[in-house]
Amino acid sequence: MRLDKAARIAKGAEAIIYQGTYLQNPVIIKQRLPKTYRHPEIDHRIRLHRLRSEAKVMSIARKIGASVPSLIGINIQESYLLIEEIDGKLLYETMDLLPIQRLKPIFSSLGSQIGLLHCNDIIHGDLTVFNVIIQLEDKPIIIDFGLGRISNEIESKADDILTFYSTLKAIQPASKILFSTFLDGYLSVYPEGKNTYEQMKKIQSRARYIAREDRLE
Amino acid sequence: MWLMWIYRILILNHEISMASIEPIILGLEGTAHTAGVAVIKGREVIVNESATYFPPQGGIHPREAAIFLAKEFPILIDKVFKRLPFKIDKIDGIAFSQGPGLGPCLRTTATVARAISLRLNIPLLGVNHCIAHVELGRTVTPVDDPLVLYVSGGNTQLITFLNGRYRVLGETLDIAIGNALDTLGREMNLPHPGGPHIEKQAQSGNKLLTLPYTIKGMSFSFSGMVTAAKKLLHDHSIPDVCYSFQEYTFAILAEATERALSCTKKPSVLLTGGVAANAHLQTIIQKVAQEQDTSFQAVPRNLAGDNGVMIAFAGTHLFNTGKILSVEDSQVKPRWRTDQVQVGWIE
Repeated sequence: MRLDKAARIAKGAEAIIYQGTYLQNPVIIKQRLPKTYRHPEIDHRIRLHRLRSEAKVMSIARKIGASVPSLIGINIQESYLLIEEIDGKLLYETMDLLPIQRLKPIFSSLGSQIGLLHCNDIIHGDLTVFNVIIQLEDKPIIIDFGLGRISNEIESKADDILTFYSTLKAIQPASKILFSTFLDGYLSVYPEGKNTYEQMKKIQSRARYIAREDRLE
Repeated sequence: MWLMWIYRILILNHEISMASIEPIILGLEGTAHTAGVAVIKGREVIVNESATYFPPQGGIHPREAAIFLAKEFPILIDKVFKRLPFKIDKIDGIAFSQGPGLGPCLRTTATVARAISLRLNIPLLGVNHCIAHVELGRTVTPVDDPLVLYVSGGNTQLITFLNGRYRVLGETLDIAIGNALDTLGREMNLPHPGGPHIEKQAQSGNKLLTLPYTIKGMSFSFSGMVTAAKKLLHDHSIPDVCYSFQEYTFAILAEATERALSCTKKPSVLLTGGVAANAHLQTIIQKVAQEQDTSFQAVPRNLAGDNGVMIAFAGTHLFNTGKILSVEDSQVKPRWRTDQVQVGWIE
Protein backbone atom coordinates (compact mmCIF):
# COMPACT_ATOMS: atom_id res chain seq x y z
CA MET A 1 0.00 0.00 0.00
CA ARG A 2 1.28 3.43 -0.87
CA LEU A 3 0.16 6.33 1.28
CA ASP A 4 0.72 9.96 0.49
CA LYS A 5 0.57 13.22 2.39
CA ALA A 6 -0.67 11.77 5.67
CA ALA A 7 -1.59 14.69 7.94
CA ARG A 8 -2.86 14.17 11.43
CA ILE A 9 -6.35 15.67 11.73
CA ALA A 10 -7.81 14.31 14.93
CA LYS A 11 -7.11 12.31 18.01
CA GLY A 12 -9.96 10.19 19.25
CA ALA A 13 -10.10 8.12 22.39
CA GLU A 14 -8.82 5.01 20.68
CA ALA A 15 -7.06 6.03 17.55
CA ILE A 16 -5.30 8.80 15.73
CA ILE A 17 -6.93 9.91 12.50
CA TYR A 18 -4.79 11.00 9.55
CA GLN A 19 -5.90 12.40 6.24
CA GLY A 20 -4.06 11.24 3.14
CA THR A 21 -4.41 10.08 -0.40
CA TYR A 22 -4.33 6.55 -1.73
CA LEU A 23 -4.34 6.01 -5.50
CA GLN A 24 -5.29 9.68 -5.93
CA ASN A 25 -8.34 9.30 -3.70
CA PRO A 26 -8.74 11.13 -0.40
CA VAL A 27 -8.68 8.63 2.48
CA ILE A 28 -8.77 8.51 6.25
CA ILE A 29 -6.14 6.50 8.08
CA LYS A 30 -7.27 5.28 11.46
CA GLN A 31 -4.36 4.03 13.52
CA ARG A 32 -4.70 2.44 16.94
CA LEU A 33 -1.65 3.21 19.04
CA PRO A 34 -0.69 1.37 22.25
CA LYS A 35 -2.12 2.83 25.45
CA THR A 36 0.35 3.30 28.28
CA TYR A 37 -2.35 3.00 30.93
CA ARG A 38 -3.22 -0.58 30.01
CA HIS A 39 -1.26 -3.72 30.74
CA PRO A 40 0.69 -4.43 27.49
CA GLU A 41 -0.90 -7.87 27.11
CA ILE A 42 -4.43 -6.53 27.53
CA ASP A 43 -3.57 -3.66 25.22
CA HIS A 44 -2.25 -5.91 22.50
CA ARG A 45 -5.19 -8.28 22.74
CA ILE A 46 -7.75 -5.47 22.55
CA ARG A 47 -6.13 -3.50 19.75
CA LEU A 48 -5.69 -6.49 17.50
CA HIS A 49 -9.19 -7.72 18.22
CA ARG A 50 -10.78 -4.34 17.51
CA LEU A 51 -8.78 -3.71 14.36
CA ARG A 52 -9.93 -7.00 12.92
CA SER A 53 -13.54 -6.76 14.04
CA GLU A 54 -13.86 -3.18 12.83
CA ALA A 55 -12.67 -4.20 9.37
CA LYS A 56 -14.94 -7.22 9.30
CA VAL A 57 -18.06 -5.49 10.62
CA MET A 58 -17.61 -2.46 8.37
CA SER A 59 -17.29 -4.49 5.23
CA ILE A 60 -20.33 -6.63 6.05
CA ALA A 61 -22.36 -3.50 6.85
CA ARG A 62 -21.32 -2.05 3.54
CA LYS A 63 -22.33 -5.24 1.73
CA ILE A 64 -25.88 -5.13 3.06
CA GLY A 65 -26.21 -1.50 1.95
CA ALA A 66 -26.07 0.31 5.25
CA SER A 67 -24.73 3.86 5.15
CA VAL A 68 -21.22 3.34 6.47
CA PRO A 69 -17.93 4.45 4.92
CA SER A 70 -16.25 1.89 2.69
CA LEU A 71 -13.16 0.11 3.88
CA ILE A 72 -10.19 0.38 1.53
CA GLY A 73 -7.49 -1.52 3.35
CA ILE A 74 -6.09 -2.90 6.58
CA ASN A 75 -2.55 -3.14 7.94
CA ILE A 76 -2.25 -5.50 10.89
CA GLN A 77 1.46 -4.85 11.64
CA GLU A 78 1.03 -1.12 12.00
CA SER A 79 -2.56 -1.50 13.18
CA TYR A 80 -4.35 0.89 10.91
CA LEU A 81 -7.35 0.95 8.61
CA LEU A 82 -7.75 2.87 5.37
CA ILE A 83 -11.25 4.24 5.13
CA GLU A 84 -13.14 6.33 2.61
CA GLU A 85 -13.25 9.99 3.65
CA ILE A 86 -16.67 11.32 4.65
CA ASP A 87 -17.49 15.03 4.53
CA GLY A 88 -19.85 16.35 7.13
CA LYS A 89 -20.33 17.18 10.79
CA LEU A 90 -20.77 14.91 13.78
CA LEU A 91 -24.40 14.46 14.79
CA TYR A 92 -23.36 15.76 18.22
CA GLU A 93 -22.29 19.06 16.67
CA THR A 94 -25.33 19.43 14.41
CA MET A 95 -27.68 18.88 17.33
CA ASP A 96 -26.79 22.30 18.68
CA LEU A 97 -27.25 23.96 15.29
CA LEU A 98 -30.48 22.48 13.95
CA PRO A 99 -34.05 22.90 15.25
CA ILE A 100 -35.94 19.84 16.47
CA GLN A 101 -38.09 19.77 13.33
CA ARG A 102 -35.01 19.25 11.17
CA LEU A 103 -33.43 16.81 13.62
CA LYS A 104 -36.45 14.51 13.59
CA PRO A 105 -36.01 13.18 10.01
CA ILE A 106 -32.30 12.66 10.75
CA PHE A 107 -33.11 10.56 13.82
CA SER A 108 -35.77 8.64 11.95
CA SER A 109 -33.41 7.77 9.12
CA LEU A 110 -30.64 6.92 11.62
CA GLY A 111 -33.13 4.62 13.35
CA SER A 112 -33.88 2.80 10.10
CA GLN A 113 -30.15 2.44 9.40
CA ILE A 114 -29.64 0.83 12.82
CA GLY A 115 -32.69 -1.33 12.15
CA LEU A 116 -31.03 -2.51 8.95
CA LEU A 117 -27.81 -3.34 10.83
CA HIS A 118 -29.64 -5.24 13.58
CA CYS A 119 -31.81 -7.05 11.06
CA ASN A 120 -28.53 -8.46 9.71
CA ASP A 121 -27.17 -9.22 13.19
CA ILE A 122 -24.59 -6.41 13.05
CA ILE A 123 -23.94 -4.83 16.45
CA HIS A 124 -22.30 -1.40 16.55
CA GLY A 125 -21.11 -1.57 20.18
CA ASP A 126 -20.67 2.16 20.78
CA LEU A 127 -23.73 3.73 19.25
CA THR A 128 -23.76 7.40 20.29
CA VAL A 129 -24.32 10.78 18.64
CA PHE A 130 -20.52 11.09 18.57
CA ASN A 131 -20.28 8.23 16.10
CA VAL A 132 -22.64 9.47 13.42
CA ILE A 133 -21.64 11.92 10.70
CA ILE A 134 -24.34 14.02 9.04
CA GLN A 135 -23.59 14.56 5.36
CA LEU A 136 -25.11 17.07 3.01
CA GLU A 137 -28.90 16.70 2.70
CA ASP A 138 -29.02 15.42 6.28
CA LYS A 139 -27.93 11.88 5.48
CA PRO A 140 -26.53 10.06 8.52
CA ILE A 141 -23.40 7.91 8.10
CA ILE A 142 -22.49 5.55 10.93
CA ILE A 143 -18.80 5.38 11.80
CA ASP A 144 -16.43 3.78 14.32
CA PHE A 145 -17.16 0.07 14.44
CA GLY A 146 -14.26 -0.63 16.81
CA LEU A 147 -16.56 -2.26 19.38
CA GLY A 148 -18.70 -3.85 16.70
CA ARG A 149 -19.41 -7.54 16.23
CA ILE A 150 -21.75 -9.99 14.60
CA SER A 151 -24.31 -11.41 16.98
CA ASN A 152 -27.95 -12.45 16.92
CA GLU A 153 -28.43 -11.98 20.68
CA ILE A 154 -31.25 -9.65 21.65
CA GLU A 155 -29.15 -8.51 24.61
CA SER A 156 -26.41 -7.12 22.35
CA LYS A 157 -28.88 -5.29 20.13
CA ALA A 158 -30.64 -3.90 23.20
CA ASP A 159 -27.27 -2.68 24.52
CA ASP A 160 -26.80 -0.68 21.32
CA ILE A 161 -30.15 1.06 21.69
CA LEU A 162 -29.65 1.66 25.41
CA THR A 163 -26.19 3.20 24.89
CA PHE A 164 -27.69 5.48 22.26
CA TYR A 165 -30.54 6.51 24.56
CA SER A 166 -28.31 7.11 27.61
CA THR A 167 -25.87 9.42 25.81
CA LEU A 168 -28.70 11.23 24.07
CA LYS A 169 -30.43 11.77 27.41
CA ALA A 170 -27.22 13.14 28.89
CA ILE A 171 -26.73 15.85 26.30
CA GLN A 172 -30.06 16.75 24.72
CA PRO A 173 -33.07 18.14 26.62
CA ALA A 174 -35.53 16.95 23.95
CA SER A 175 -34.14 13.43 24.11
CA LYS A 176 -37.46 11.64 24.59
CA ILE A 177 -39.04 13.02 21.39
CA LEU A 178 -35.91 12.36 19.35
CA PHE A 179 -35.53 8.88 20.74
CA SER A 180 -39.11 7.94 19.91
CA THR A 181 -38.57 9.21 16.35
CA PHE A 182 -35.43 7.10 16.22
CA LEU A 183 -37.37 4.11 17.49
CA ASP A 184 -40.13 4.57 14.87
CA GLY A 185 -37.48 4.49 12.15
CA TYR A 186 -35.86 1.45 13.77
CA LEU A 187 -39.12 -0.52 13.96
CA SER A 188 -40.17 0.39 10.42
CA VAL A 189 -37.20 -1.55 9.02
CA TYR A 190 -36.89 -4.14 11.75
CA PRO A 191 -40.32 -5.09 13.19
CA GLU A 192 -38.72 -7.68 15.48
CA GLY A 193 -37.02 -4.72 17.12
CA LYS A 194 -39.99 -4.66 19.51
CA ASN A 195 -38.21 -7.40 21.45
CA THR A 196 -34.98 -5.41 21.42
CA TYR A 197 -36.79 -2.49 22.99
CA GLU A 198 -38.38 -4.71 25.66
CA GLN A 199 -34.95 -6.14 26.46
CA MET A 200 -33.50 -2.63 26.65
CA LYS A 201 -36.01 -1.74 29.35
CA LYS A 202 -35.02 -4.90 31.24
CA ILE A 203 -31.31 -3.99 31.09
CA GLN A 204 -32.13 -0.48 32.24
CA SER A 205 -34.01 -1.77 35.25
CA ARG A 206 -30.93 -3.77 36.32
CA ALA A 207 -28.94 -0.55 36.72
CA ARG A 208 -28.81 1.44 39.91
CA TYR A 209 -31.26 4.14 40.94
CA ILE A 210 -33.69 4.26 38.07
CA ALA A 211 -36.35 6.71 39.15
CA ARG A 212 -39.90 5.83 38.21
CA GLU A 213 -40.41 8.86 35.97
CA ASP A 214 -37.24 7.93 34.06
CA ARG A 215 -38.41 4.45 33.14
CA LEU A 216 -39.47 4.15 29.54
CA GLU A 217 -43.01 2.94 28.94
CA MET B 1 -25.46 58.63 69.19
CA TRP B 2 -26.70 58.52 65.57
CA LEU B 3 -23.23 57.86 64.30
CA MET B 4 -23.00 55.01 66.74
CA TRP B 5 -26.20 53.50 65.31
CA ILE B 6 -25.04 53.87 61.73
CA TYR B 7 -21.77 52.26 62.69
CA ARG B 8 -23.62 49.38 64.35
CA ILE B 9 -25.85 48.85 61.31
CA LEU B 10 -22.80 48.84 59.05
CA ILE B 11 -21.09 46.27 61.22
CA LEU B 12 -24.25 44.19 61.33
CA ASN B 13 -24.63 44.36 57.54
CA HIS B 14 -21.04 43.40 57.17
CA GLU B 15 -21.55 40.39 59.38
CA ILE B 16 -24.64 39.35 57.44
CA SER B 17 -22.86 39.63 54.12
CA MET B 18 -19.89 37.71 55.53
CA ALA B 19 -22.30 35.02 56.65
CA SER B 20 -23.80 34.74 53.17
CA ILE B 21 -20.35 34.29 51.63
CA GLU B 22 -19.05 31.81 54.15
CA PRO B 23 -21.89 30.07 55.92
CA ILE B 24 -21.19 27.57 58.68
CA ILE B 25 -22.70 24.23 57.71
CA LEU B 26 -23.10 20.98 59.62
CA GLY B 27 -22.87 17.97 57.32
CA LEU B 28 -24.38 14.58 58.15
CA GLU B 29 -23.45 11.60 55.98
CA GLY B 30 -25.22 8.27 56.38
CA THR B 31 -26.10 6.47 53.16
CA ALA B 32 -24.51 3.10 53.86
CA HIS B 33 -21.88 1.96 56.34
CA THR B 34 -20.33 5.30 57.35
CA ALA B 35 -21.70 7.81 59.84
CA GLY B 36 -19.99 11.14 59.18
CA VAL B 37 -20.44 14.41 61.03
CA ALA B 38 -18.53 17.55 60.08
CA VAL B 39 -18.73 21.30 60.47
CA ILE B 40 -17.23 23.57 57.80
CA LYS B 41 -17.04 27.27 57.12
CA GLY B 42 -16.59 28.19 53.46
CA ARG B 43 -13.71 25.99 52.33
CA GLU B 44 -12.37 25.43 55.81
CA VAL B 45 -13.00 22.18 57.68
CA ILE B 46 -13.55 22.97 61.36
CA VAL B 47 -14.34 19.51 62.75
CA ASN B 48 -14.65 16.17 60.98
CA GLU B 49 -15.62 12.94 62.72
CA SER B 50 -16.76 9.61 61.36
CA ALA B 51 -17.36 5.99 62.28
CA THR B 52 -17.53 3.09 59.86
CA TYR B 53 -19.39 -0.17 60.27
CA PHE B 54 -17.43 -3.33 59.57
CA PRO B 55 -19.67 -6.38 59.34
CA PRO B 56 -18.31 -9.35 61.31
CA GLN B 57 -18.91 -11.50 58.21
CA GLY B 58 -20.39 -11.07 54.75
CA GLY B 59 -21.38 -7.71 53.29
CA ILE B 60 -23.35 -4.78 54.64
CA HIS B 61 -26.82 -5.67 55.90
CA PRO B 62 -28.97 -2.52 55.56
CA ARG B 63 -30.69 -2.99 58.92
CA GLU B 64 -27.47 -3.75 60.79
CA ALA B 65 -25.85 -0.69 59.22
CA ALA B 66 -28.82 1.50 60.19
CA ILE B 67 -28.65 0.28 63.80
CA PHE B 68 -24.95 1.11 63.79
CA LEU B 69 -25.66 4.64 62.49
CA ALA B 70 -28.36 5.19 65.11
CA LYS B 71 -25.87 4.22 67.82
CA GLU B 72 -22.97 6.28 66.44
CA PHE B 73 -24.62 9.56 65.43
CA PRO B 74 -25.33 10.80 69.02
CA ILE B 75 -21.73 10.03 70.07
CA LEU B 76 -20.23 11.74 66.99
CA ILE B 77 -22.49 14.79 67.21
CA ASP B 78 -21.69 15.21 70.89
CA LYS B 79 -17.95 15.02 70.07
CA VAL B 80 -18.25 17.53 67.23
CA PHE B 81 -20.35 20.03 69.17
CA LYS B 82 -17.89 19.92 72.11
CA ARG B 83 -14.98 20.66 69.82
CA LEU B 84 -16.59 23.62 68.05
CA PRO B 85 -14.70 26.89 68.67
CA PHE B 86 -18.04 28.77 68.69
CA LYS B 87 -21.60 28.28 69.94
CA ILE B 88 -23.87 25.77 68.22
CA ASP B 89 -26.37 28.48 67.20
CA LYS B 90 -23.73 29.98 64.86
CA ILE B 91 -24.44 27.09 62.49
CA ASP B 92 -26.37 28.35 59.43
CA GLY B 93 -27.60 25.10 57.95
CA ILE B 94 -27.89 21.34 58.53
CA ALA B 95 -26.97 19.40 55.39
CA PHE B 96 -27.73 15.69 55.27
CA SER B 97 -27.41 12.93 52.70
CA GLN B 98 -30.99 12.63 51.42
CA GLY B 99 -30.08 9.94 48.87
CA PRO B 100 -29.22 7.77 47.05
CA GLY B 101 -28.41 4.91 49.38
CA LEU B 102 -29.78 2.18 51.60
CA GLY B 103 -33.29 3.09 52.79
CA PRO B 104 -32.92 2.25 56.50
CA CYS B 105 -29.61 4.16 56.71
CA LEU B 106 -31.01 7.20 54.90
CA ARG B 107 -34.04 7.30 57.20
CA THR B 108 -31.85 7.16 60.29
CA THR B 109 -29.67 10.01 59.06
CA ALA B 110 -32.68 12.10 58.02
CA THR B 111 -34.23 11.63 61.46
CA VAL B 112 -31.05 12.89 63.12
CA ALA B 113 -30.93 15.90 60.78
CA ARG B 114 -34.59 16.79 61.33
CA ALA B 115 -34.22 16.53 65.11
CA ILE B 116 -31.24 18.92 65.19
CA SER B 117 -32.92 21.27 62.72
CA LEU B 118 -36.15 21.50 64.77
CA ARG B 119 -34.39 21.69 68.12
CA LEU B 120 -32.01 24.48 67.11
CA ASN B 121 -34.32 26.08 64.52
CA ILE B 122 -31.68 25.86 61.76
CA PRO B 123 -32.73 25.22 58.13
CA LEU B 124 -32.37 21.77 56.54
CA LEU B 125 -30.45 21.15 53.28
CA GLY B 126 -31.03 17.91 51.34
CA VAL B 127 -27.83 16.81 49.59
CA ASN B 128 -27.40 14.26 46.80
CA HIS B 129 -24.62 11.93 47.93
CA CYS B 130 -23.06 11.47 44.46
CA ILE B 131 -22.97 15.20 43.80
CA ALA B 132 -21.40 15.71 47.23
CA HIS B 133 -18.44 13.56 46.10
CA VAL B 134 -18.07 15.81 43.03
CA GLU B 135 -18.42 19.05 44.99
CA LEU B 136 -15.81 17.85 47.47
CA GLY B 137 -13.35 17.50 44.61
CA ARG B 138 -14.25 20.92 43.23
CA THR B 139 -13.67 22.46 46.67
CA VAL B 140 -10.46 20.81 47.85
CA THR B 141 -8.64 20.39 44.52
CA PRO B 142 -7.96 23.11 41.91
CA VAL B 143 -10.23 21.58 39.23
CA ASP B 144 -13.01 23.52 37.60
CA ASP B 145 -15.53 21.98 35.21
CA PRO B 146 -13.95 18.51 35.27
CA LEU B 147 -14.94 15.15 33.85
CA VAL B 148 -15.51 13.16 37.03
CA LEU B 149 -14.82 9.47 37.49
CA TYR B 150 -16.74 8.64 40.66
CA VAL B 151 -15.81 5.21 41.96
CA SER B 152 -17.09 3.77 45.23
CA GLY B 153 -18.70 0.79 46.88
CA GLY B 154 -22.16 1.77 45.74
CA ASN B 155 -21.61 3.80 42.57
CA THR B 156 -19.43 3.96 39.49
CA GLN B 157 -20.25 6.86 37.19
CA LEU B 158 -18.69 9.19 34.66
CA ILE B 159 -20.19 12.57 35.48
CA THR B 160 -19.83 15.96 33.88
CA PHE B 161 -21.61 19.29 33.97
CA LEU B 162 -23.73 20.01 30.85
CA ASN B 163 -26.87 22.17 30.36
CA GLY B 164 -27.48 23.05 34.03
CA ARG B 165 -27.07 19.58 35.48
CA TYR B 166 -24.50 16.97 36.31
CA ARG B 167 -24.98 14.42 33.54
CA VAL B 168 -24.07 10.77 33.73
CA LEU B 169 -22.21 9.91 30.51
CA GLY B 170 -21.47 6.35 31.46
CA GLU B 171 -22.00 4.12 34.46
CA THR B 172 -22.01 0.57 35.65
CA LEU B 173 -24.84 -1.47 34.22
CA ASP B 174 -24.93 -3.72 37.28
CA ILE B 175 -22.65 -3.50 40.34
CA ALA B 176 -20.19 -0.77 41.36
CA ILE B 177 -16.43 -1.32 41.14
CA GLY B 178 -16.09 -1.15 44.95
CA ASN B 179 -18.86 -3.68 45.33
CA ALA B 180 -17.10 -5.94 42.80
CA LEU B 181 -13.82 -5.69 44.74
CA ASP B 182 -15.61 -6.38 48.06
CA THR B 183 -17.42 -9.40 46.64
CA LEU B 184 -14.23 -10.86 45.22
CA GLY B 185 -12.48 -10.10 48.51
CA ARG B 186 -15.07 -12.08 50.46
CA GLU B 187 -14.56 -15.02 48.12
CA MET B 188 -10.87 -15.03 49.15
CA ASN B 189 -11.73 -14.58 52.83
CA LEU B 190 -10.25 -11.10 52.92
CA PRO B 191 -11.83 -8.71 55.47
CA HIS B 192 -14.44 -6.10 54.47
CA PRO B 193 -13.98 -3.73 52.64
CA GLY B 194 -12.05 -5.87 50.16
CA GLY B 195 -10.67 -3.06 47.96
CA PRO B 196 -7.59 -2.09 50.01
CA HIS B 197 -6.75 -5.77 50.68
CA ILE B 198 -7.00 -6.62 46.99
CA GLU B 199 -4.77 -3.64 46.19
CA LYS B 200 -2.16 -4.99 48.62
CA GLN B 201 -2.40 -8.59 47.36
CA ALA B 202 -2.14 -7.39 43.75
CA GLN B 203 1.29 -5.88 44.44
CA SER B 204 2.78 -9.35 44.81
CA GLY B 205 0.97 -10.77 41.77
CA ASN B 206 2.65 -10.73 38.36
CA LYS B 207 0.92 -13.24 36.13
CA LEU B 208 -1.84 -11.78 33.98
CA LEU B 209 -4.73 -14.22 33.78
CA THR B 210 -7.43 -13.86 31.14
CA LEU B 211 -10.68 -12.20 32.15
CA PRO B 212 -13.53 -10.81 30.07
CA TYR B 213 -13.30 -7.17 29.04
CA THR B 214 -16.80 -5.71 29.20
CA ILE B 215 -17.22 -2.18 27.92
CA LYS B 216 -20.32 -0.82 26.23
CA GLY B 217 -19.57 2.61 24.85
CA MET B 218 -18.93 4.65 27.98
CA SER B 219 -20.71 2.18 30.25
CA PHE B 220 -19.38 -1.01 31.75
CA SER B 221 -20.41 -4.00 33.82
CA PHE B 222 -18.47 -5.85 36.49
CA SER B 223 -20.62 -8.67 37.82
CA GLY B 224 -19.61 -11.08 35.05
CA MET B 225 -15.97 -10.26 35.69
CA VAL B 226 -16.37 -11.15 39.38
CA THR B 227 -17.84 -14.52 38.41
CA ALA B 228 -14.95 -15.16 36.00
CA ALA B 229 -12.38 -14.14 38.63
CA LYS B 230 -13.99 -16.46 41.20
CA LYS B 231 -13.52 -19.36 38.79
CA LEU B 232 -9.83 -18.50 38.39
CA LEU B 233 -9.35 -18.93 42.15
CA HIS B 234 -9.57 -22.73 41.77
CA ASP B 235 -6.28 -22.96 39.87
CA HIS B 236 -4.41 -19.73 40.57
CA SER B 237 -2.92 -17.85 43.49
CA ILE B 238 -4.77 -15.03 45.26
CA PRO B 239 -2.16 -12.36 44.34
CA ASP B 240 -2.35 -13.26 40.63
CA VAL B 241 -6.16 -13.14 40.62
CA CYS B 242 -6.14 -9.80 42.45
CA TYR B 243 -3.52 -8.42 40.07
CA SER B 244 -5.41 -9.52 36.98
CA PHE B 245 -8.76 -8.33 38.30
CA GLN B 246 -7.37 -4.87 39.01
CA GLU B 247 -5.58 -4.66 35.65
CA TYR B 248 -8.72 -5.58 33.72
CA THR B 249 -11.33 -3.57 35.61
CA PHE B 250 -9.14 -0.46 35.84
CA ALA B 251 -8.33 -0.70 32.12
CA ILE B 252 -12.06 -0.63 31.43
CA LEU B 253 -12.58 2.40 33.69
CA ALA B 254 -9.63 4.09 31.98
CA GLU B 255 -10.93 3.43 28.50
CA ALA B 256 -14.43 4.72 29.34
CA THR B 257 -12.86 7.82 30.90
CA GLU B 258 -10.73 8.44 27.84
CA ARG B 259 -13.72 8.05 25.55
CA ALA B 260 -15.78 10.50 27.63
CA LEU B 261 -12.88 12.97 27.65
CA SER B 262 -12.47 12.73 23.93
CA CYS B 263 -16.22 13.34 23.43
CA THR B 264 -16.70 16.22 25.88
CA LYS B 265 -13.25 17.89 25.57
CA LYS B 266 -13.30 18.79 29.27
CA PRO B 267 -10.11 20.46 30.56
CA SER B 268 -9.54 18.17 33.56
CA VAL B 269 -10.26 14.79 35.13
CA LEU B 270 -11.29 14.37 38.74
CA LEU B 271 -11.11 11.01 40.51
CA THR B 272 -13.38 10.80 43.54
CA GLY B 273 -15.16 8.28 45.80
CA GLY B 274 -13.84 5.56 48.10
CA VAL B 275 -11.97 3.60 45.39
CA ALA B 276 -10.14 6.84 44.44
CA ALA B 277 -7.85 5.99 47.37
CA ASN B 278 -6.41 3.13 45.27
CA ALA B 279 -2.92 4.29 44.23
CA HIS B 280 -2.82 2.03 41.18
CA LEU B 281 -6.12 3.42 39.84
CA GLN B 282 -4.81 6.95 40.41
CA THR B 283 -1.70 6.25 38.31
CA ILE B 284 -3.80 4.75 35.52
CA ILE B 285 -6.31 7.61 35.33
CA GLN B 286 -3.45 10.10 35.46
CA LYS B 287 -1.98 8.45 32.36
CA VAL B 288 -5.39 8.73 30.65
CA ALA B 289 -5.42 12.46 31.41
CA GLN B 290 -1.94 12.79 29.90
CA GLU B 291 -3.02 10.87 26.83
CA GLN B 292 -5.81 13.42 26.22
CA ASP B 293 -3.71 16.47 27.26
CA THR B 294 -5.82 17.33 30.29
CA SER B 295 -4.97 17.89 33.94
CA PHE B 296 -5.61 15.30 36.63
CA GLN B 297 -6.70 15.57 40.25
CA ALA B 298 -7.75 13.01 42.83
CA VAL B 299 -9.43 13.81 46.13
CA PRO B 300 -7.12 13.38 49.15
CA ARG B 301 -7.04 9.88 50.57
CA ASN B 302 -8.60 10.84 53.92
CA LEU B 303 -11.64 12.38 52.17
CA ALA B 304 -12.03 9.75 49.44
CA GLY B 305 -14.51 7.58 51.34
CA ASP B 306 -17.89 8.80 52.60
CA ASN B 307 -17.63 11.70 55.07
CA GLY B 308 -19.58 14.60 56.52
CA VAL B 309 -17.28 17.22 54.96
CA MET B 310 -18.46 16.55 51.41
CA ILE B 311 -22.12 16.76 52.47
CA ALA B 312 -21.39 20.09 54.16
CA PHE B 313 -19.57 21.48 51.08
CA ALA B 314 -22.47 20.53 48.80
CA GLY B 315 -24.87 21.88 51.44
CA THR B 316 -23.06 25.23 51.32
CA HIS B 317 -24.01 25.58 47.64
CA LEU B 318 -27.65 24.74 48.42
CA PHE B 319 -27.63 27.28 51.25
CA ASN B 320 -26.11 30.00 49.09
CA THR B 321 -28.69 29.44 46.35
CA GLY B 322 -31.57 29.41 48.82
CA LYS B 323 -32.46 25.71 48.38
CA ILE B 324 -33.80 25.24 51.90
CA LEU B 325 -35.72 22.02 52.55
CA SER B 326 -38.77 22.07 54.81
CA VAL B 327 -39.11 19.17 57.26
CA GLU B 328 -42.35 18.18 55.48
CA ASP B 329 -40.47 17.71 52.19
CA SER B 330 -37.46 15.98 53.70
CA GLN B 331 -38.39 12.36 52.95
CA VAL B 332 -35.39 10.33 51.81
CA LYS B 333 -34.74 9.45 48.15
CA PRO B 334 -33.06 6.02 47.98
CA ARG B 335 -33.00 6.10 44.15
CA TRP B 336 -32.12 9.75 43.62
CA ARG B 337 -30.15 10.01 40.40
CA THR B 338 -27.28 12.40 39.83
CA ASP B 339 -28.95 13.95 36.77
CA GLN B 340 -32.20 14.70 38.61
CA VAL B 341 -30.65 17.50 40.65
CA GLN B 342 -31.11 21.03 39.35
CA VAL B 343 -27.68 22.59 39.82
CA GLY B 344 -28.16 26.30 40.43
CA TRP B 345 -24.68 27.11 41.71
CA ILE B 346 -22.63 26.66 38.52
CA GLU B 347 -22.77 29.18 35.68
